[in-house]
Amino acid sequence: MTKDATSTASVAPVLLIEDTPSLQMLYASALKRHGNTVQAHGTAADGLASFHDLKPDLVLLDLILPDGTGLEVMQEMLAARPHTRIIVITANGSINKAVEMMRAGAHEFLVKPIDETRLMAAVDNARKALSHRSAGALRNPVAPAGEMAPFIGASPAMQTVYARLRSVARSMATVFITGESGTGKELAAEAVHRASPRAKGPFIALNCGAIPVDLLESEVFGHLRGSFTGAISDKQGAAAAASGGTLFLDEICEMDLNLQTKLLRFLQTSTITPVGATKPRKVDVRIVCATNRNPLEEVRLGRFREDLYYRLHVVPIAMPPLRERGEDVIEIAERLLAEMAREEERGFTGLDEETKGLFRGFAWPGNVRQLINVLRNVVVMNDGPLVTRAMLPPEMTGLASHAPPARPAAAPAAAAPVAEGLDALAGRTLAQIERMVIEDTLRRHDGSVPKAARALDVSASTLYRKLDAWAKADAENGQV
Amino acid sequence: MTETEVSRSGERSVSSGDGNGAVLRDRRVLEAALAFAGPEDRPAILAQMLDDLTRIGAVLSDGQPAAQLRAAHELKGLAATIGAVRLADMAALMQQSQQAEAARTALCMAMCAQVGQLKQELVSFDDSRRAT
Repeated sequence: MTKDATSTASVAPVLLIEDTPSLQMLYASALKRHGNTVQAHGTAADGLASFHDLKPDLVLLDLILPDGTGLEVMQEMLAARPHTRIIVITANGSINKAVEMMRAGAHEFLVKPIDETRLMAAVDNARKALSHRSAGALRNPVAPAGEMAPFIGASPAMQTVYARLRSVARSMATVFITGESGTGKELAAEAVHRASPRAKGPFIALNCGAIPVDLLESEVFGHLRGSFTGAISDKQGAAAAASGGTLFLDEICEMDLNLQTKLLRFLQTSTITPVGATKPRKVDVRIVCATNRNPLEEVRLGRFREDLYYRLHVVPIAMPPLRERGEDVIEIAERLLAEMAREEERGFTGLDEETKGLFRGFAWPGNVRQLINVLRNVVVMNDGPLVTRAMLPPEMTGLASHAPPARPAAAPAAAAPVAEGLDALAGRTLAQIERMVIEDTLRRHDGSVPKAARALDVSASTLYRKLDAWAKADAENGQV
Repeated sequence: MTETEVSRSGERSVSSGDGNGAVLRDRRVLEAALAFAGPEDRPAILAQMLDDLTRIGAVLSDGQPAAQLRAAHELKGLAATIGAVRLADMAALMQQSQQAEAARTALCMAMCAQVGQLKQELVSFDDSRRAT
């Protein structure tokens, strides 16, 4: 196999390991044309020998080599020099193996046929990550045991999450966060961003479930003035706004199938075409996405593209429910209680022992968001110094076990059971009707917000926001 | 099979295939791929592509199953890069399924024919590029 070493610039060399000679020549020539020094080999053995000799920081590595696998080569390289940025090259159809490589520590992967823009963007990203590391901008990946901002809690379940977040933050790998509603998926996305070399760049969050379908493309990719009715000016979409930083796509499984196709194209090319535009433009973003659904089930049901799933599901992170986080519930409650007490000018100092026991044993189907709702209700309606059982909503004191899910904290103060037929709705405002339907659905599902959300075909977070808003409004109006 | 027999077989199978007949459906893909490289490197890269295709074709024609699978993997990447989409798909098909021997042999022969045709098209492309 060929070997080529050409110095054309003073930058650190790129090690290229590609077994097809013509492709090796092509990539090497492209890299040289962009000012890189290249050392190229066609076998695992030659590539590894050169790696140990030259100690390059950046490697382009074919997934399948005649005398070994890309995975074996990469593992040996990372064991010797863990900070090496390895860009995997794979042919279409080996996506699963490429995902395996990313989880094993690869910086990025490129799918053949590789276009010049994509290749040089990957190389530039890797070089930026390396320069940030050497400038000390990267956080220490081996952080001290304990918490990880912005999370509260040091339970074993969260330590696993923290370790994973720190590990993935240093790379460009797409992160796919799953978990029940209220488990902190957006916080996890923020943590990835903060711990990454892109921390100084923007963090743009987009809730794919909260934006109308016909506006979502414009929200993600932007639009030009006049491109549709209502487009009175140019709009920079979330992808462009996040260039240089991180784009967080929440509730990704609720994205329309047509837009999923465009998102896949964006992920493959790093280019966006705003609505109404004819020319694509390049953006540089790191993608983090999240869902509270089962993504594979969505694929099976035909609601989520399988190829997009594999493109996004590179590094999965599962956020544990609050009931599996041990003492974290107490720690979170006490810290939030202190903050809320300051805001509301109440004298709360903590939770009594009975309340702590109830909190530890409660199922928390709404997780941390539900805990926040409970505490806010307690603080607004009572005064301290300690939170007692009597201050808690009835569903917590009556159903204090893991098995049955409890009702949400915001009690339906202004609701009545929905009567048969439409007569009961006559004369009511749309907002009142909405509240009646939602609260009736919750009753029918024993207070389970996730189940009610599925029945109503909305996201659980949408319901929690409404419950939160109603609780505040009821408190302001003096309703219990 | 000799290279001539492969080429003639390729002509027959391609001409009896779809209307276009060309392995390179869109030469702009090949042009874009070569545009990667510096202009001084392009003739050498094109020549190496022809050598690679000759080598791969020989393995597909006469090689052992394991060698044929490796050749198919190489061909998949190379064909996809220069825009020979159908050939890349055939190579992917060979990799993805556990083919019975008769089916694998037929697939290899079909790919050999396409490889032969592709080489002719690359030579023609190179000739037209030199002429301009």
